[in-house]
Amino acid sequence: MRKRLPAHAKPLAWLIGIYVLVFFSLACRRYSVFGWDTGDFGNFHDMFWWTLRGRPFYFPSRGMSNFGLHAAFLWAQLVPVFWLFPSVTTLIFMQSLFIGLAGVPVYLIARKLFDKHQTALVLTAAFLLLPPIVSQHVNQVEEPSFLIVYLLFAFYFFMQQRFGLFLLFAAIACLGRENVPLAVMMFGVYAALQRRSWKWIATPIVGGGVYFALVTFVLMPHFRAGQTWDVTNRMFAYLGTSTQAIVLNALTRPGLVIDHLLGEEDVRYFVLLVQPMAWVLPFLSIGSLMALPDLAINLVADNGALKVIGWHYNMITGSFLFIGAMFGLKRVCGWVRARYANGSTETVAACALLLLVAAHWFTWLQPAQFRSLPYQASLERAISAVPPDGSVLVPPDLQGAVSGREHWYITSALIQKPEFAAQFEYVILDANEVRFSPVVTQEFFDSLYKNPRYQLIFAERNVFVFHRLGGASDWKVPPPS
Amino acid sequence: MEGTATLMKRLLPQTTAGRALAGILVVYVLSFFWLACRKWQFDTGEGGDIAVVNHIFWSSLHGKFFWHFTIDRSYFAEHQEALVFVVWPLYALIPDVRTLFLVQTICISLSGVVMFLIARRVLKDDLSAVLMAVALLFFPSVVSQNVNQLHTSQWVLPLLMACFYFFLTENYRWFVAFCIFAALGKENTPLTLLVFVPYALWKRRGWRWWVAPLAVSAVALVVDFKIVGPYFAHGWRYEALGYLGNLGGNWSEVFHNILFHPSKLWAAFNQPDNGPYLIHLLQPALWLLPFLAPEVLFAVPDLFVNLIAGNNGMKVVAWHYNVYTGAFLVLASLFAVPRLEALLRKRFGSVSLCPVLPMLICVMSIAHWPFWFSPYEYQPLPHYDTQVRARALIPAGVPVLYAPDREGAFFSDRSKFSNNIMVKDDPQQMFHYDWVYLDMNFARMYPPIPKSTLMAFANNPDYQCLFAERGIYVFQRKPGSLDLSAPVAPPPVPSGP
Repeated sequence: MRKRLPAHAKPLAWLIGIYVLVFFSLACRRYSVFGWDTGDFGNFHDMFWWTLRGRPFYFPSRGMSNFGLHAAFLWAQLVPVFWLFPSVTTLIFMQSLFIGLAGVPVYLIARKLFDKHQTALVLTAAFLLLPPIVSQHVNQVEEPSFLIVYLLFAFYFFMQQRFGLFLLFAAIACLGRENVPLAVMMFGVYAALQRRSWKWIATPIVGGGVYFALVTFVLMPHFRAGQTWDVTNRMFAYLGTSTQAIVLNALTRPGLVIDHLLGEEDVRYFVLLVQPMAWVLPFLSIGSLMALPDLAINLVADNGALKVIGWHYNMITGSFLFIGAMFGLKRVCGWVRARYANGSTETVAACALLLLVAAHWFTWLQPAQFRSLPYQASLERAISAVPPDGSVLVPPDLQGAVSGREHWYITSALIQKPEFAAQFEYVILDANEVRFSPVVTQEFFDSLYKNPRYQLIFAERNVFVFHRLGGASDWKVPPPS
Repeated sequence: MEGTATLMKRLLPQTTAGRALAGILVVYVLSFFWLACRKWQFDTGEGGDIAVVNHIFWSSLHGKFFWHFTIDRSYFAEHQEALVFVVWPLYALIPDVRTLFLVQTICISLSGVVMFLIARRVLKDDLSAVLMAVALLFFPSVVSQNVNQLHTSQWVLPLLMACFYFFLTENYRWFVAFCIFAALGKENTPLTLLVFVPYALWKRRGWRWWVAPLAVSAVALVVDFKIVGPYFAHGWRYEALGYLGNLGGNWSEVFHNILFHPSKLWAAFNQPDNGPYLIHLLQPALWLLPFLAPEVLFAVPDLFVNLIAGNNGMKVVAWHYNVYTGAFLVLASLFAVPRLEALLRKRFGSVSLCPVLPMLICVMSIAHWPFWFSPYEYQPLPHYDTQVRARALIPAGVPVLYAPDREGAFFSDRSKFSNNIMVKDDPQQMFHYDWVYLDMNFARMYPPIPKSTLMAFANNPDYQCLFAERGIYVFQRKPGSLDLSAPVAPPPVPSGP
């Protein structure tokens, strides 16, 4: 087996191995010190927890299957691992591993492009440190981290003109999320621009289009079981509240879209997204085509979350902009070599790109989120004060820590929907926390402390646990919409 | 006529790279002048230092000798800068804050020209030279000075760079001349000039190359701190010394602690803000790249002071304490390029870093715009129109008390004006001003404007409220309510930064 491994596999394995371990450690650190909101850690942990208990991919915070929100059937690949090691840490490790493995197709693409091991290795490192990619280790657990490796392999086999393998990986990637087929459709456009045969052009376009329609109009509504999907009206409010109105307004009133695209938020997002690739490199080739659908959605949407580089909405965009940047880099190197008769240009340029990418840590890394809180031990003791199966309301940063039980929610429910919040047996309040609302004011604290239905059972360094008196809940009141 | 035409032609850039740089500089000056004016006009940044610098020039046209209103004595008590005499005629011609913004931006862009000339000699490649010039022009601690109020450190930058250029080209006369010009700038400049001493020795230059900067620096330091400063200070304590308060209360204590108390020096270096400061400062220059060249020595004096200072303001990359440091880090990066190339050639054979590495340095400089640029600062505040209408009520030349401090930028062209901090929100001192302008919209500013200050005027029967809209208040003293000939207590002198 060892003999069959190519010589360059070892440094690549080392690179990916070290990368996975370092960022897995960082992710664990951030999670364990309650560095930021851990809502999705909690939600996806619960999803697997419920799967092992007979309700496959149930998403309790929405009261429906996760597939009703996103056509992310690829979550199924994690079930055996979670069954063996059921914890949030397992999900974090698997996420880091999948992100790291995305380096393999990138290496193969770079190797094919530059025909040089060192250059490919450096470019792989650059990809792995690209803000939209590397940030996903220390974001929460999200779907795109688990699909990108397949989509990049699809690109590699597309380059290699191996149709069967391309289709296989593109199909697997499509199972990752409902927006992936749109990226797959762009392979058809890419093939057309490369003047490939009809099967390369038609299959991705038709296949991607059909699958997109299938998941959007059939499968996801089926899993929603009549519940509303609030994505559309949350994302494009300035264009309308229904899909029809959005499309109509976008086509008939392009000024609206153009004004939006030229807004400060969009310009800033776009500049910061392409800046680690020297702004122009991704656009010097058509290799970035697959980034366009997600990029267009992120730009046209008026939901600011999609424009946060460190969040998961930019993984496909970032990956394919980087692929385009590698092609662009090759072009620039050709120009430099012709002008300067410089044989080492490609490796030097790859190193330059790596440094530029690495320097953009400030767009995704916030050191404060990795520092232990001064009252960390009190928070941990407060969590321990709640029985493992007790229903509990917690601040946003503690969600992951209390997940894996039937009922938990965030403390904002006490304000948003008191009748829903009243169903929970325990409430953890952190009066030190000012990053999230509701901030615990004296009035907010007194609403529980002076409430005869609640008893204070833990108080330490401004961390409090209240126990609701009275019987068990019937859980008839649904969560806030 | 023909001679003039020939001279003009010689002054114009002769090469494609030179013409490209000229184009970049024109766009640069116009863009940053516009941005600086816009930020000032929209009142979206600090304005205290704009008020100080504008007033020293304004006062010199109105009977006072370069008056520093916050210390109530000549500006030379604090900064012994003869260079203000060079800028003064321009201000006399167009007495406006914007004249000073333009001078500031032109000085920064001129340093780019010198960097281009140096880079062309060092790298022997025109494209790389343009890239290095752009790298300097957009280096966060340099480019930020176009839009960071008004400060005089920028005036010296092209002069210091020119010193280096003439040292490099071994043009002794011009080297000495620019050393003298530069020494006329801010009082910390001689420290940077002193670096030419070890640098000349390192380069094995003749004695005159190190004696000249040594002599110029020594004379400048003596003149600044022993003659000019004390003459104008009239017993006032040198304000900048407060920045080093963590190391002592006077110069001898500071030097004693630096030299003989390594633990205190170590503690100063170990301040928590130094880590992020170094990362922010060095990263755009590719972290360790500048340290591959001995030219990094020129960045050391200011860097050393900033690192040991207890004042966190000096560790803000976008503030004016890092202009020389930043510029010389770029210069050192430039010299590091051929050095690194030579090192790599020994190890890997044929390696050429030009133009890729200069391109990377340039891109890194530009890419760090989030360190200093915030688009919100160039858009009007929601209450901008209200501000304009309120300020328009106050006649030119009348005494004004204003708050917050940043508003000083709009009232510095009069002989009597002060902010609430200078009068310590003390009614006895506040009520000596005929007009009062309070903008309570900056609630997050420190120190906040006490509500009691607003109420003091609202409840004072001697004042009438002329304007109260969207948190902005204008009060005017009722005619005849105070004998204005009564002596006015001078504002207290701040003891620190």
